[in-house]
Amino acid sequence: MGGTARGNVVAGASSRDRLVGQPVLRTEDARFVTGMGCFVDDFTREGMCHAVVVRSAVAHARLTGIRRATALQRPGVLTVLTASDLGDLGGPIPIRIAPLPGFDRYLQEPLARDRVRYVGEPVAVVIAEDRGAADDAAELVTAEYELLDPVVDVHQAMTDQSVLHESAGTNVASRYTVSRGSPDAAFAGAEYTRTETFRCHRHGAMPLETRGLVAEWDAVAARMTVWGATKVTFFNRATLAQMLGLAQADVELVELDVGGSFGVRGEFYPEDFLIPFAATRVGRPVKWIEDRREHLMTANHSREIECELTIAAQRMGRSSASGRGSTPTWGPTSGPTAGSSPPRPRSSCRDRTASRTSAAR
Amino acid sequence: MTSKTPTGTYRGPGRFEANFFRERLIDLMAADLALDPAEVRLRNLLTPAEMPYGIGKLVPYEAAGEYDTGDYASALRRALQAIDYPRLAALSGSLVGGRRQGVGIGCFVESSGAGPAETARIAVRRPGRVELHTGCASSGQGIETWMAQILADALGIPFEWIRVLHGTTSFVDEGYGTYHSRAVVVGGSAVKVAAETLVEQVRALAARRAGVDPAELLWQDGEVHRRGRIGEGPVLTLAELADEGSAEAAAALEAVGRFRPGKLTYTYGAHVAHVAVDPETGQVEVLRLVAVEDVGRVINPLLVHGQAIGAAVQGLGGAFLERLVYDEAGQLMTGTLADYALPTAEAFPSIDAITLEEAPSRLNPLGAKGAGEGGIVAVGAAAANAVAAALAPLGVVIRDLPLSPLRLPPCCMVREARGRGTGPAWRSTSTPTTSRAGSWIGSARRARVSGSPWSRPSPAARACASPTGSRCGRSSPSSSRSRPNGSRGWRAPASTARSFRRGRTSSATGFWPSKAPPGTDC
Repeated sequence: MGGTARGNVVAGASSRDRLVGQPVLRTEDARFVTGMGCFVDDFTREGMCHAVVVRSAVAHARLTGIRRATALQRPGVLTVLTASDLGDLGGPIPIRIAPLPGFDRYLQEPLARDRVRYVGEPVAVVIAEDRGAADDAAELVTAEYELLDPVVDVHQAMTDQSVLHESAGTNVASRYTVSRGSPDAAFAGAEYTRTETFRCHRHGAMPLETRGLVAEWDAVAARMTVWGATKVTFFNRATLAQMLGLAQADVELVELDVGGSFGVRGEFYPEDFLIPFAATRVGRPVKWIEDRREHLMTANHSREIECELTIAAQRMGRSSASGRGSTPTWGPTSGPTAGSSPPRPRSSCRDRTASRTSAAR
Repeated sequence: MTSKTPTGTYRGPGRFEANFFRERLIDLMAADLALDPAEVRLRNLLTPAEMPYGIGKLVPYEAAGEYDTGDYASALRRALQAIDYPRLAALSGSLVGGRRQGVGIGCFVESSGAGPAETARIAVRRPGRVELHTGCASSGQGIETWMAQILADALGIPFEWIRVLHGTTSFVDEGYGTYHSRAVVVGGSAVKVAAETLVEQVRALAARRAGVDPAELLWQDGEVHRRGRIGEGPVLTLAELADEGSAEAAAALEAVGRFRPGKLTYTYGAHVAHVAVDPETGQVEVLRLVAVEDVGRVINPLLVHGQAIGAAVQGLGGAFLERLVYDEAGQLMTGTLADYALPTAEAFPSIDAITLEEAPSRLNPLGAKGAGEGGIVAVGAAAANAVAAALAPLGVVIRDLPLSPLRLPPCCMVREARGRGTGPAWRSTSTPTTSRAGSWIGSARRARVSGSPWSRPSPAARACASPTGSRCGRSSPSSSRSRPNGSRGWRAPASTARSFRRGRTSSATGFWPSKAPPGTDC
């Protein structure tokens, strides 16, 4: 705490730099170690109801219908929303960073309309008085699927035998080449070369606190407030405002205490639209807390890349490196940050001659 | 595109993977050329004299990049020294207590501080209460602490006066968020700019009231003094002004600062891992990981070390434990934390984080570079290179992560037998061994079984890491035991490599004395 921190000030330090550089204990610690932190599931609003997302149980299928009548009859159920309820709102989630050429053909809609493309993709949202009622009703929402061939491997994907986005016509979302110097000449003239194919596996950030949101719609002021935001709150506010057809000034995103992001939490996901949208439909604050299984299924994954790499050396050990045909395996949609995953062969080593990176995805 | 969960950013996105690919290939090259992996890197790392260093375009949608400042070799030397590299390099591949020892290196650079702009708004509410509003988000990085440190120093006021208010899009007009290790670089710089603006405003007000030129006044510790007459007491203090309640005071006591980054600033460093691998089960114990990172300027070492150690554990979790598995129908098989193994407190207990400030950034007023992500970037590479070094005598070549027991021997050896890479190819026509390039992989494997090319400490690494060299000598018995064929084995991987060395001008006998047993030549 602050008081302790002052004790760490080095005697005689200049007045300009008394604290910068010092191991000041975290101001935040007091509320965390006394259990006074307020994470999103600690946060409640009067009249709050609860959302559960119904998710695709299959990896790739035509979505031919969703039956919600049984679920709607359950006690405590307020509504069940599907893509047909969105009207003109929603629309695809925009790319935030890394706009690779061709990526805009693969944007994700917040609710699946006529096709599902991964296990866990949202197909409906159940709103009920409490979480238990919402969970029970969610099991009664049935989606009808015509199964299509799943695409689970990047090499399989590149054959285009089963295409995930018919409008794009291919699973290869982007191809590009960047280079520096004259890589072909450098590699042709090298005294030593070696080419290898490496693979990194799919894993993820796994923050301790899963995602969660509380959204409240003030119909009189036409103002939306969402608690549980983090990471890129200003970008997400602009995105949400656009998807809800509101001005940015009428949308406020509030960050509570956050149990880790590591890049994954706080990006714009379908739920970041769906929960505020649901609040406008039921006219009450809506809470949604992701469970761990949902998190493993639906929070962005990362790292799955195969890369063929060639290194070349001249006597005295100067090296050049080149990545050729590195192939990240993406999900079925280009989310806000999907393009950030291709390997960037930044090297702290001198690259005397040239380098080239080609990537196909 | 595949029918699996969408992908997105995760700490060091694209960097962790690319670093593993590149650093692994550098080690494979080093082995082919019979060079020490540390030496290969020390020879090739960029030097401070080469900064700024243009790196071209990495992706089509970004402008060409440029490393700003750094002494990359110095960071590596520091890591080698901290882990006692010569001793561990001499042990690499050898059996100690039934487990193969290995040491591995990963060097990294990590960009940080991307745009757009962040703003900070300072409002002095009353004496002893200064509010700092930021558009940066916090997911546990201690933003309320380090931002207050920057502001406390910039205004010369007590830390306790400051409340950092973050977390809504309404506190400041313009902001973006926290990613790309940018909160200190961009958001922290905005705090500094805002504080300087506030100081100017209060100084100007004091000058007006005192009827003097603002240049005659100076700001010290939350007070405005006449230059050269500090002993006379302040002309105006922040506390007085905050107590005043006038519109004039209120206007002077609120300031907004904005910082828009230009180029990216590059954190850099090196990780060195020391592992012991059970050759029968594939179980790996990370005996030690040293993570050296230069972040330009440390605002709070507790927080920076927390980031570094957390990143190292997270990276080791990714390298050894974590894996999202799908079946052929596209169903996720790892749907609980019982199936998806996260590292817990006891998994990787021995991690040393060393933070350097040798190369402050020139691109922001704090001199800071990102500290959040660099710590994970080289972990997979260092771990994989260490395991590879440990298993090199068994002919295992690591090309994949994760390094889980299921995927190491015997699985690894099966995969190795299948072969994947095109292998090294010599191009020098003057070398009689060129024609044997096609059979090179096989002979190298046999050579590695009979002796570890990893057992040779590099003279340069020795020089930097162990001035006396005495510890190399101590380690020689165990490294000798690992090579039943003595020194003959380690010359073998490369009959081709020898010809390469012969061409060197620096030493007629090659880089390492071919007769002296490794470990005893120091």
